[in-house]
Amino acid sequence: MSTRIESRSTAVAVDGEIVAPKTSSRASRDRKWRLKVSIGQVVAILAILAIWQGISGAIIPAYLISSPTSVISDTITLLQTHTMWTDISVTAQELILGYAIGVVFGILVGVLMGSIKFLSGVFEPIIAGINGIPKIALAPLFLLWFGLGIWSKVAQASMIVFFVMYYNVYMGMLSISPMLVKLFQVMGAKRGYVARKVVLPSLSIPIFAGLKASVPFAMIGVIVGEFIAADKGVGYFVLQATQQFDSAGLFSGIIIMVAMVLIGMRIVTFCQNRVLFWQKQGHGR
Amino acid sequence: MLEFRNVTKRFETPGGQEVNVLQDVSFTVDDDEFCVVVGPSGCGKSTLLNLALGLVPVSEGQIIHNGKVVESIVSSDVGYITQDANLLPWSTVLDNIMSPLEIRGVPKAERRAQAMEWAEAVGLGKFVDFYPGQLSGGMQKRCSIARTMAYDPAMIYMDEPFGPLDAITRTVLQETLLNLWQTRRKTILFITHDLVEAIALGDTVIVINGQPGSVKARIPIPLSRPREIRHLAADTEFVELHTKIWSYLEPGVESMA
Ligand SMILES: Nc1ncnc2c1ncn2[C@@H]1O[C@H](COP(=O)(O)OP(=O)(O)OP(=O)(O)O)[C@@H](O)[C@H]1O
Ligand SMILES: [Mg+2]
Repeated sequence: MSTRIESRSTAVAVDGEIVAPKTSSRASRDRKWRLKVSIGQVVAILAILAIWQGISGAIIPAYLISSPTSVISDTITLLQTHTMWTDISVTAQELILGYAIGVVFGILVGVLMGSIKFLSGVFEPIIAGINGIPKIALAPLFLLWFGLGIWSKVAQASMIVFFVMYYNVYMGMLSISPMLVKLFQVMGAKRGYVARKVVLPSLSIPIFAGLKASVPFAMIGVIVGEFIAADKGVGYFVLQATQQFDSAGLFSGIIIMVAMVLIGMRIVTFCQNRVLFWQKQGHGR
Repeated sequence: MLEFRNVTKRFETPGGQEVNVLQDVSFTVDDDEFCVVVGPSGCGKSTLLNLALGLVPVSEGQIIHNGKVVESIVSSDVGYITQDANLLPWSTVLDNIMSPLEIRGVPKAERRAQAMEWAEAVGLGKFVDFYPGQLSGGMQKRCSIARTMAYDPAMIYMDEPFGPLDAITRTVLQETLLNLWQTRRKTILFITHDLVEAIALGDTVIVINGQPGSVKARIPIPLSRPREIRHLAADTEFVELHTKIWSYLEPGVESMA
């Protein structure tokens, strides 16, 4: 919104003729660099796996750290069982519900607090106080309130997600340019128009920041809930595996959790790319 | 009509004290008048416009807009071209220009046509699908000019609209503005720190200077219209006016050095 530095890589001539950017050599340099980084990543991962495989059994007993080969074969076998898929679907349900509820309330409260000064004056310290509770400590309480089923886990996850979303959105509200809002009022815009065309798009970046950060937090909430008391779910499975000294199963469970989080992140990124297309077009690309 | 009556504006400084930015400012802008305000950087010109539109409250005095005391944001048939472009970064040039038309409920096809016309007029015809982030500072400013002009308000407040533009683009846009004003008669309050521009455009030039800023002079510009902006500099009357207005600006300029 403010004046920007006018040096650009995408050159645009004064008379309106759009000149192709002179970046072919730079693009190939970029590509080479990316390839180098990718190779480095693969090598690093392989090295870590090799070390893991090497010390398993030889230096550290296999029942403690398992080994990559047994984790992989275990994961494959597990994914062919019906119970594993039940666990995954229960955890996925808890994850999606907890995430959605936390996100909706986080955005709602963030917007309210950001638009009504009196509310934020009264409730800001209260919310900060509640956020000070180590939320995992509330798990037994949620169990008491919502029982053994999925809802105690949903509550735990949404509680954590709420705060992540709330703080992102509230800060986003404070960063909206008051001049832009006032200017639209001068143009005759009513509240609804300002909300749709100015406020909501201004919030898109903080909302997506919150949506992304929230995915792994939602998983933490769900898994903690399943650790406390459950009879289904990936967290429950991991706990069982641990109690049976089945370290390969434990690692498989963790891999499945990571996969679920990564899928969630991908979905958010996909949506983000569709919504924040305008942001990519900036000068500093 | 716009009237400032003994308006004083105080801001709180970062140190917590109050400082007067504008002091006892009084002037009127008549209907259909082209009124230009000149003054050095920091004398309170942008503040003056923000006050006139009710974006910030006055500390003392009154502002009367079309017979009513300004107490909240003025939104009746006025346009404000702010010093920063203030475009929507998530909307294209065309959508930005169309937004006030959309607010007014202008049908889509008409809205497009009007917006296109002004995009062309400010030289952005080939850039209507660009996002503000893809434009230079001057192009962003031109887009914001088009946004205001396209909905054709009766009263326009402009804060250094041609400030970031090169001499040629600026002259072309000045001529466009003068033509428009001559054919459609509007009330214009135009801020600039360019003395030549002030004399070339205005019916009246108000000089604001000092810290706090106050009205140092109100100078009618008797140059005949239509004016040939490109050839004004050779006009003897123009040179006299230039010297005269310069003298009111001088003390402030010196104290800033
Ligand atoms: N919100 C604010 N709080 C405190 N001081 C402010 C505020 N807005 C403006 N000022 C002060 O008011 C004075 C005038 O500012 P203003 O933007 O009106 O100047 P200007 O004449 O438009 O200058 P320029 O030609 O550089 O745009 C400045 O000293 C500035 O520091
Ligand atoms: Mg200014």
